[in-house]
Amino acid sequence: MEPLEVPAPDGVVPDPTDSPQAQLSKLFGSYRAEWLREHIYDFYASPVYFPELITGRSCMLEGGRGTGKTTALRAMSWQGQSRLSGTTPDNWPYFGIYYRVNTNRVTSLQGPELTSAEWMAMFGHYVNLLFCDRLMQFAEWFEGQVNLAGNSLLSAQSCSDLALAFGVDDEAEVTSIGALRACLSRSLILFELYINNVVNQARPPISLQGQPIEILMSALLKHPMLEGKVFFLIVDEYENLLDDQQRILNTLIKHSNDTYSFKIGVRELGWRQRSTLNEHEQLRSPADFVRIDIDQKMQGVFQDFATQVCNDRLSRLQGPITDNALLTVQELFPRLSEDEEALLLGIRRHTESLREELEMESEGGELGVFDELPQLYKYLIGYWAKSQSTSTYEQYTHFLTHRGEWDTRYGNYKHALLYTLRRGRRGVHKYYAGYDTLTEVSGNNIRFFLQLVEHSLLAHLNDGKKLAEPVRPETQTDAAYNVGRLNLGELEGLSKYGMYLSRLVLALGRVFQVMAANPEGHTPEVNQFRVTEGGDNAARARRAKLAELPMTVDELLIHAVMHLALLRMRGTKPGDPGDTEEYDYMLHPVFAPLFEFSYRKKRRMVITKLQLAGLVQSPRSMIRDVLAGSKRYLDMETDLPDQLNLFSAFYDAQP
Amino acid sequence: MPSLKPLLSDRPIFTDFTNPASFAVDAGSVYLSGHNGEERSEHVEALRGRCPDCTYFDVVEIDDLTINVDGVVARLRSHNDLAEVWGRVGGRVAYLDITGLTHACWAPLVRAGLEAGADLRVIYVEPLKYRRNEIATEGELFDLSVSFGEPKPLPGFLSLAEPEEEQVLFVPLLGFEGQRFSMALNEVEPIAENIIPVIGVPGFQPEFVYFAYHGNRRSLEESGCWPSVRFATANCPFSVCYLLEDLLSERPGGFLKVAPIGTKPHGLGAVLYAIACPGSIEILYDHPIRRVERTIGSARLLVYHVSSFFKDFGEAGSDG
Repeated sequence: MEPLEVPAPDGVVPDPTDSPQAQLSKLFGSYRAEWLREHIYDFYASPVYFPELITGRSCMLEGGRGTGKTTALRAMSWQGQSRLSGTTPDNWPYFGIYYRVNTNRVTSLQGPELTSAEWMAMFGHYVNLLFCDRLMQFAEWFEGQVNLAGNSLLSAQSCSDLALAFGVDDEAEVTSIGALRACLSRSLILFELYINNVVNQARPPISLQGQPIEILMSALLKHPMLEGKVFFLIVDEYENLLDDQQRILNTLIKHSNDTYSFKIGVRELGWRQRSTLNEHEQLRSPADFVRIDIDQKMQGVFQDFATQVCNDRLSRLQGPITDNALLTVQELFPRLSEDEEALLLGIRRHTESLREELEMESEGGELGVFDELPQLYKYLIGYWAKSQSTSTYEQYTHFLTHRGEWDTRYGNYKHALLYTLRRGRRGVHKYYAGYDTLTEVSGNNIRFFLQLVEHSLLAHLNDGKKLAEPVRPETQTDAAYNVGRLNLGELEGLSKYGMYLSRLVLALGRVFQVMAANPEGHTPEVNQFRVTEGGDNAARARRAKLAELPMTVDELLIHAVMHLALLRMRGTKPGDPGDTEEYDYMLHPVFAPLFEFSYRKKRRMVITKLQLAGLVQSPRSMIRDVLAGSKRYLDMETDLPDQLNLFSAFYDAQP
Repeated sequence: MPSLKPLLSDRPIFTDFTNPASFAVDAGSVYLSGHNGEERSEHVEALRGRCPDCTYFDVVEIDDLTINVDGVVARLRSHNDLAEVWGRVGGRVAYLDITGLTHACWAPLVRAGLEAGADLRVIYVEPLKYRRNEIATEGELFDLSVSFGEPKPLPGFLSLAEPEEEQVLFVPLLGFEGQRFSMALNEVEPIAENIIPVIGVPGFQPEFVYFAYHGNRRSLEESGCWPSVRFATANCPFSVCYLLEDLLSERPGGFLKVAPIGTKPHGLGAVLYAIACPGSIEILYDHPIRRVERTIGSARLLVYHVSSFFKDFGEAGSDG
């Protein structure tokens, strides 16, 4: 099938009389698909994987919140196509029927009153009712858009057949789409009454799993106007289905055919059940579906995509704000090199005193090579001397004779050194600025990227600046801090274990912050971890400890990954003895500016499950414990950096 | 000219205010209550001594769908089981003390009681204080819940109505736990201008209003719904009913999605409204697992004359 060409949207243009801030908020503040409503299509930019998504095959679109799943799925819906295609619906190659799983509904379809098989039948019936009603809503709309010359999309016989499939008594009288929708509405009410009194109420007719949907789609596709078309049944937030319910939909996916397929939106780790109702039958890629991992698909192209999205929005600004404005994110957020950043962080203060030291130690020797070195390289020599407890001059002479070795060291430590330049001082310790950096901080997440741009630009304007000048690194750094803080707050509302996720982020953030600020004698840029079970003694203690948490550490990790508190990566480095898990984890880089550690995927440490549990239960003592494992000793009372003062109650607590 | 509705504060409140130490029940009545470890739910022991002429039914929650009332097991999604409970109450005045019971338990009991025609009075004891959060992250002043369940309807209150999203008015009845508001927002994903948060004003204690704003500040701000906040007395279920009625009359054709995540009396108000007008409301609930001893002490005891209220309101609701 030919991919749908998605034209550039012409939609949202802010009112030029709005303040610049109001315009920016309109254009950038709506970074959640659900807040955009009808404007979701006005802002639409086709992601790179879209052509793959709209082939006739079933797809699993996998990605964290804010990666654009819902936007892409809704763009495939008939409502989306009506805004994006630019043609009448009879010209569309497919019709998408969108359904977002409503947790409050599907969780009611379980309980001790019925057997698991009976509940699955109830869910199958519910899905039939939902999709058939949505299909008929589409049919009614289609009939209003296209001249069918009195030839309805559904024949009287088809309506009657479908009524029969739902067990409607007087099915022969159901001969129109309107009458059929009224019947289904009644069936839904009967079903609701039944579930609310599931023990005593007479069971209403329950349709066979998937059958009415197939009958309806097949009847619709017989109409000459729809011949050769396909239906996409789009299910968003698949992770909210119960396990058995996933198996039912898996079965429907397995048996989809060339006239319809499923497009599933799911968070990482949210697709828990791979089997169909036949437990020996698994859904397999690529035989049964195409797996589209958004993160993977966006590798290497995210920056272009983010540029397109942002620059498109910036181009819609109106009025005086646009005078001489830099209207691309590349111009507004110019790259800040590590050397430039080092200068901003006051590296000269360090290197000048280093030079004085060298002058004294070399007793007036030649320092020409030193003077020619970049500032950070000079600083590395002093840093290395301190971490090796030797003199600066000794390291300098070593550098002169082992340049290759030092160049490698410089490559390894250059970025890490930035975190040490202003430690212990008030104010900014590390800049998070520049288009490239903000892309990395967003973790290839378009929502986070839009947040970073919006907060930076608003702060820039609130400082009295114009868009004719780039945003200052300080402003970007403050904005990145605020975005990290906002997302930390948001974690609490994303999961039933939200408060534990916040605690986990606060505790791990503190650990990595201390490690980043104190790398001497240690591996630089440690910001990942691998989880191990720990030894036998630890296991006993762990069991006692974990009993106090309402979830296991594995569950905590799953929720943390699903809700983007953590990123999970398949471990690529050789495992240490005792490693039992094959994944590495890191705090999502959007939190890096809040704590001030590296946003780059670098080196890892090992954390035991006991320690992870301790970090959320007794953060104060366990942070100290984890850090002591790498011989970093923390004075909790005095070492808390400015930016974490807001959370001092958390770090000070001694439960 | 449009008819002017009376202010919430001018409408009948069907409530007696007393305190747990002096509260007495009618002789020959039935008192149903449960214990959850909170000090305020323990007043029933003293009541038994003060009012021995009353029959006391212990309500024990076996799981989230089954209870045991004075030795009789009742499934909460069984009209017959619940009717049997009220059958044992007979024509006597019934007090249902919801202080130590979860929403999932008392809501179906209230509905079944009203359906059985019981003379139902609901009892609620306010706490004096809430337990402070020892490991406070930003915004969470109080440590009230260990965790939450999946969002799930209260037993017997499932609504499968599929209103257009523009019709949906999302009404969170706010408490102190901002996390719950945030979770409900993520679940419903309402249109920003259709969010009408409700804060309990006056609160149980004067300062509680500030705690509610503090706890929910982030979501109020981020969703932009803070100018739409409405107020209803924190210990008054009937004010919530009136408010929900007003909201629908302001937006004809609207459909309410109500999240009772604040005070229990507000939750009772939402449940009463859902019983009276089932086609226009869906209740979303997050089933918190409460921390034992999340509250300290007891303040006022309130007696809500639910049957009397329902006679007026329920009839008006079913007419409307």
